[in-house]
Formats: sequence, C-alpha cells, structure tokens
Amino acid sequence: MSKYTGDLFAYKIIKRPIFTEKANDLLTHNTYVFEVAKDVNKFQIRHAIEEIFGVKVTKVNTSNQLGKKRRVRQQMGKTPDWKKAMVTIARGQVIPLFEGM
Amino acid sequence: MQLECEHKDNCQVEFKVVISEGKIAARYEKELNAVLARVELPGFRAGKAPKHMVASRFNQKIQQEIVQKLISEACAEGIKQHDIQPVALPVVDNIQYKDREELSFTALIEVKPRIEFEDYRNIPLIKQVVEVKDEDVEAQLQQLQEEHATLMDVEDNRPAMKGDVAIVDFEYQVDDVKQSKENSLVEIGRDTALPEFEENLIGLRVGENKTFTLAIPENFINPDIAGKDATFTVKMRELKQKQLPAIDDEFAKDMGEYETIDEVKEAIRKGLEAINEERAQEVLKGKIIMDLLSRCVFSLPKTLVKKETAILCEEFIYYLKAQNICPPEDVLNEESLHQRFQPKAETKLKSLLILEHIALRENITVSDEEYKKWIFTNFRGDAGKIREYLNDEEKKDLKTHEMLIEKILNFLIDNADIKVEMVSQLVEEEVA
Repeated sequence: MSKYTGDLFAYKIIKRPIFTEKANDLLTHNTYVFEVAKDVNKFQIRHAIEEIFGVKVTKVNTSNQLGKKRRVRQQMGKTPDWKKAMVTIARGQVIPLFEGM
Repeated sequence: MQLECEHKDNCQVEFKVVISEGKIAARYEKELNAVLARVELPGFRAGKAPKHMVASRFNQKIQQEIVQKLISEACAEGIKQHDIQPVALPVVDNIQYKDREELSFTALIEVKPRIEFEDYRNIPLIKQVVEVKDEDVEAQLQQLQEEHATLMDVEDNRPAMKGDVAIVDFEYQVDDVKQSKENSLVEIGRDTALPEFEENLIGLRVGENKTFTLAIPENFINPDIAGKDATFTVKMRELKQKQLPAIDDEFAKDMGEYETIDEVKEAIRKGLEAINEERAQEVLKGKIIMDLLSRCVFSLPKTLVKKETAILCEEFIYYLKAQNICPPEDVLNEESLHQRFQPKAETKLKSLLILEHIALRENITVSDEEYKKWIFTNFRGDAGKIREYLNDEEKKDLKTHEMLIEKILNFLIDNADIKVEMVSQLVEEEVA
C-alpha cells in the first residue's frame, strides 16, 4: 500500500493551490493549478481532486519543478524540487476555492 | 448626498450629512480600480492581479479610506455651499456606516464669528498731547552742550572734583582673584558703574594712589563679583575737566545748518512736538481698540483662542530663554501659562476680528503697490532683502496684514470725533 491512504489521503497529495498570473489565465480553460506531492502519479491526483472538490476531472498534466539554486555563505544549496499539476475539470463545473479569494 | 447646515451659535456650524449607498458603491469601484492598477501581489506583475483577489484582500482598507475621503469631501462641499469660513478642522461625530451601506455623520465646524457692528464712526475720543515746555527745550539744549564739551587738563594739579573726567589704572581683588585695568575713563559723578568707586576718586591728584574696599551690590552686571567685597587700588593718571561751549550763535553754527541759537531751539521744539504727537497717536489707537472691544461683544471659537494662547505662551518662553531667565517650575506649567495668557489672546483676537470686519465693510485693502513701496523705502539699496521680501509669500502676508491693521486704525482715527487736549503730562491708561 502506498503512503497516500486513510481518511485524509487526498490532502496529503494536494498541497496547495497556486495563484499566479499564468494560473489565473488558465482558468479560462477551466484548468486549475496545484502543488502536489513529489511522488504521486496523474491517477492519484485525479482521484484526490475528485475527492476533495466533488468535481469531474477530464485531464491532468504534471511537471516536475527543479528547486532553485541558493547560496548560503560559501555553501551552495538548493530549494526543494516540487511537482506541479494542471488539472482540467469538466465544463460547467467550478472549484469554489478560487472564487471567493 | 443630503447635507443639513445648522448655525449652532455665533461661531459653530453643524453639518448633518447622509451619503447614499449608490454613491458609496461608485466610489468603492473607483477606489478599487485605483488599487488594482498599482498593487503588487506575489505571483503577479504590478497591476496584473485579478480583481476578486485584490477586492477580498483590500476590502477593509478601501472602505476605511473611502469613508474618510467622503467625509472630508462632504465637509469641504458644505463649507463651499454655505459660504462658511472655518477656523479649524471639522470635528466629525456619530459616524454610522456598515459595509458599503448608507453613510451618515455629523460634523461640528468652528467658524469665524459673524460680527454685526456698524457703529464705528465718530467715536468720541480725547486726544492728550503733551505740551512742550521751555524747560524741555532747555534740557535738550543742555544735553547737546554736554555732548559737545571739550576735555582740558586741570590747572595747578588740583584734586579731583565732581564733574571731572579721570583716567585711572586700577587693580581690584575679590576672593584672592586679582584683576587689573589700565587707562580706564571714569566720569566722576555720573553714576555710571559704581557710584562709590567714583566718590572715592574725589580729592585725588594726578599721580596719587589710593586703596579702598567696596561692597559690590547684588545686582552688579558681572555676576562673578556681585554681592562680594572688593579691594581696589587706584592710580590717578590724568585728570581732565569738561569745558562746556557757550550757548550762542557760534554754537548753533557748529550744529549744522543753523544760523542762530533761536533756530536750534525751534528745531528742538519741533522735534519734541513730533514725538509727543506720535505718542498721542499711539495712545489714541489703543483707546480706539478698547472702545471697540467694550461695545462689540461676541464669542470666540475655542480652537482659535487655544491656538493664539499657545503662540503667546511660546513667545513668552522664548523671551525668557533669550533673557536667560529660569522661572520656577509652576510658572512654566502649561496650564498656568495658558490661564495667564488666555485673556490676552482673547482681546487680541477680538480686536483683530473687529478690525478685519471693519476693513471688509469699508473696503480697506493693502495693494501690491503699497507693499512694494514699503519694501523699497525700507530696504533701499539692499538688493538681497528686497528680493527676499518680494518673493516670500509668507512675509508678504504678514506685512500686508500689519499694514492693513495700521490703515484701518488710521481710518478710524480720521473718522473719530476727537477732542484735542493739551496736558502737561500724559495720563497713562491700561491699554491692551
């Protein structure tokens, strides 16, 4: 069994919604952008979104974002890598999270 | 917008304002768009953030802002509409507002008091002019004579007398500290610095020495030695006596453009008369103000009095500091100072307001030409000062106001019912 089980499995997968200019533009295609756990696949994401928001997901695209290089004094460091998911949902449906913000 | 204007008393106006929901909504939209155009949120370029996000984030702030703006705008409009001359910022009260619904409030504004006063012509006044007596002229002439006296060495090395001028070296010792001075000029019997010191010189011949001890008075100029005993050792170097010139036509010619001594006397008399006349005029102005104040009664706005009192207190403290006086704590206490200066501030404000009211009724103004004329006569040849006064608006306002007051007072004197009375001495009255 994977570690994404139990009552709140969906909230372990979906970390936070992303509000940027680009994400805002994607709303016209009924596409929402989230940061998700690094090691989940598109099926798990689809499952989680449907579980949390009660909507029908038609498409999931993902991309791995490499962390940025940072230097602390002499030492090179790196912000963590993360996974981004662009989730398209069925026409006519809305994820209310974005409306009231 | 509904605005009711009510004159509470002579110096207070109350606005009751209601602003409709529609107006607030329009204002909110406008303000929101303004915020939208410049706000920078993380993830968005400046001005590109979506409206709903900005609205939710800045809702509270925008509403506070528009309420404030609407209130001040409403007050400004009311002031314009009802032709009110405020002297202080409106005090807003009873603000009723909830989340973009109707806004209502009351504002209390203190205004310049309305003055109804017409009875300022033909004020009965008694002008007291001090007569110039022959003794006064003589005294002036004697002073002139003193000023033109020549110094001569005394004959036969006689001892010093009153009226002589001595040149002395002296040393003095106070508390083991020795000081000395050479070639000091002392006029015996003129009571300049230390009368006792001069007295001690009497009877001394040139070349003689004398030692004596004096108690320096408490209020002596030099605080280091005031109130202490000083031992002086004086050596008389030279002794001169004054030779007064004879008062005759020759003396008159020395004075300048005069031919005879009678001409000089006449000139002195005229000068004295002019001084007395000017003094009488000043007293008259004070009397006019007192008269106006006693007959024109009205109440003053509180803030104005407070402001003026504060200014007077500040001036007083500044004056004390300049004089290096340090009064006890309870005098400098703000409250007691205010109490002390409030009546003064009130009379000052009242007289100013009455005079301004008269100026308005009589159309008395100070034109730019008059101001320029004043500059050019006062600072002739001083280009820097002239430029400063021409360009500085604040200085100009101050000076023109001063000139205006002067003009009104002169107008009042011209229109007053004046009886001239020659007196031998001016009866001083308390003048504000």
